Amino acid sequence: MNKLQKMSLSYYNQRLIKLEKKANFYQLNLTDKNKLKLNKIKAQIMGIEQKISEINLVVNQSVQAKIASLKSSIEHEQDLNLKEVHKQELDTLETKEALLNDPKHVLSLSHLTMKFGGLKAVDDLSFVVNKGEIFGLIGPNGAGKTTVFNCITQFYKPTSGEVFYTDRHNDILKLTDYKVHNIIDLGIARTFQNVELVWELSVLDNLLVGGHSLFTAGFFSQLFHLPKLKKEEAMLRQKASEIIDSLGLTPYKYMIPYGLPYGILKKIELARVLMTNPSLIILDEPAAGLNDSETKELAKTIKDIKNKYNLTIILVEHDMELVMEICDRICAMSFGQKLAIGTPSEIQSNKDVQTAYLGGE
Amino acid sequence: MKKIMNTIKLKLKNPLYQFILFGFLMILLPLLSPFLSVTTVDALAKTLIYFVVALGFSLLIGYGGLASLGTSSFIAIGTFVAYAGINEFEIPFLVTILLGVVIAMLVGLIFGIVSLRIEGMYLAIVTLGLSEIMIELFKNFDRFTGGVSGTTSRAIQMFGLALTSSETLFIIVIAVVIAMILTYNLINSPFGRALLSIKNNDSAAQAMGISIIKYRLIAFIVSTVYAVTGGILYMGYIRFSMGSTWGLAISLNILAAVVVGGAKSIWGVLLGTFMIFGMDLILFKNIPFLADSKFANLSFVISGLLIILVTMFYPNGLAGLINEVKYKIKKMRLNKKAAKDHE
Repeated sequence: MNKLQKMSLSYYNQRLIKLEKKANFYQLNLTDKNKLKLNKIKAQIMGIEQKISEINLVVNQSVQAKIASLKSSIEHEQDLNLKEVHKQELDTLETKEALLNDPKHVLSLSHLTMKFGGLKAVDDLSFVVNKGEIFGLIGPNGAGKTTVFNCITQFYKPTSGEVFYTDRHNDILKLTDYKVHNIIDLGIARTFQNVELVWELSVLDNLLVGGHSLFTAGFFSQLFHLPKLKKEEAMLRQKASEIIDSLGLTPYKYMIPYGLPYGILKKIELARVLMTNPSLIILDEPAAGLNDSETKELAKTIKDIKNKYNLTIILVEHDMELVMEICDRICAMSFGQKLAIGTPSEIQSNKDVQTAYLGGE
Repeated sequence: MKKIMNTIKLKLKNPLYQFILFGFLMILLPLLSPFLSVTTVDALAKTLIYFVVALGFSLLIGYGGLASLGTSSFIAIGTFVAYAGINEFEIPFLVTILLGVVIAMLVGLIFGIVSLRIEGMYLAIVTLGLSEIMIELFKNFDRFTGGVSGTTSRAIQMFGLALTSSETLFIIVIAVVIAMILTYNLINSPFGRALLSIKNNDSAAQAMGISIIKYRLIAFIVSTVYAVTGGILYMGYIRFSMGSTWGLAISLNILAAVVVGGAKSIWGVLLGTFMIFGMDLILFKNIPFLADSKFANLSFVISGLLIILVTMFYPNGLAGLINEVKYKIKKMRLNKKAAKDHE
């Protein structure tokens, strides 16, 4: 893939996302005037989709050529180091090819490595997350779990390796091509280990910050409070209120979150994530600092929202009871490397995992 | 009668109507100006002009968390644009303002791109450096700035008439009301929330899809536009501007006005601006004891003390103080009511 194709592809993708948001807005307010606009936008979307598929066709051909050339170079290459590099590259390309035909795939890491100076926080990690599952990431402190999350959400750019993601159109995207603030448009939303809210805004407004990426009103309609902004704001306020009610946060709706109990703050963060219309949510230690009954309630909430919003969930957690109860599959890590991956019972009986947690012998 | 009073009361809960009411009150000022002393009117006009600048700055520091010290050089640009528009090109005043806005956007964009990659104290230092460069430029490019000796402008021409100072006040009041309304709109829209979330928590902001550099840049440009507009109004009213007056002192005064008043409240900023730019001339100079030439500088000491006291005990500024008092009165009333009910 050359640079021009890459740039035009990312431009078209972003334009598509913007247009879809607009179309969504007009769809929800169908008046005669908006119908015309909607049709116009739909035509534009079709055009852009066509262009994207054209580019993809060219790119696919070049990828096939690259795979062939890599294969031949691996056979003839004498230098062992170079051979290893080529092999990894080939593997990444082939993984992507394989993913195109996998309807279950949502997110996968391929040979992800993140170095900080001499420290390898994540070392050659690969796993696949399937649609509709709750995927747990466990490991002792400092195993690199949060680093993996930061690599997925592009807070860090991985040193090497790729993160693949299936978007709403079933296209396979490389997340490393995206900027950190564009990740949300793809439907990936995250929470933080230490609750990260806006302490100067009320709970409702915090949720509206979560809905920020859904606003299509431009700067001038914000400056003059044009009807479009007012309508959008009213719609999102309605949505935020619904989410607040469904999570049982109603008494705190107009409060400043500062000083509220930790369990409530975690819930507010969860609510904010739900505001963003996600299809994949990433929870960083959702149960940290919660007591037993709160943790049980959280487990129920996570399962409920998964079914209600049709989500895929990845979570890091230290509370083994919670992890074993709600996760469909678990990946255990230690010192940046993958120890084991499997169902909760498989992980529990795995020797390596026991050693990492309880010490050797 | 009661019904009308009630509807008026209800309407006044809406800040937009409050701003318009404020505008009407201020329009009394030019009408009353023949009866007031010249210094008082001048001080009030200056307060209003700097209020426009301070509003833009409050958006930058109160919402964006960015402390810039380049404000005064933006005001200076405004004054020189006004000079060029009124005297050199002789274009209508409204067109001059539009021209100023465009120039402000360009200057803000350039300053912003240079300086917004850094934060906090370092941003203040970089903008300070940039504004010092601007002042030197003003001294040397004397076509529009008059160099070291400054420039004197003619009166504003509008509808074929040359406006007097008190007529210019009308324009200033209108501009102030518009600035207040636009600021209020911006604060209460996704833009304001995005800025606040960047100030509070930039990683959460990014995770929610807010581009930090984009919003900081827009905030910087908006505050530049406010400052340049303030400069144009200044030239329209005072009609004299000199490059070297627009140094660090003015920038710091505006910073102080916003911080003392309460950076997140429009009325607070107004109070703060009045305290810094107007109180000395309007209040203290009218008190016989203080107006005595022996104590001429005592008023500065008093306003300095007030600033220290407010910032020490009320970090949210005068607006925070007023809110606290309001809350206490409400509580006292509720307590009294409860006690009465109990009896």
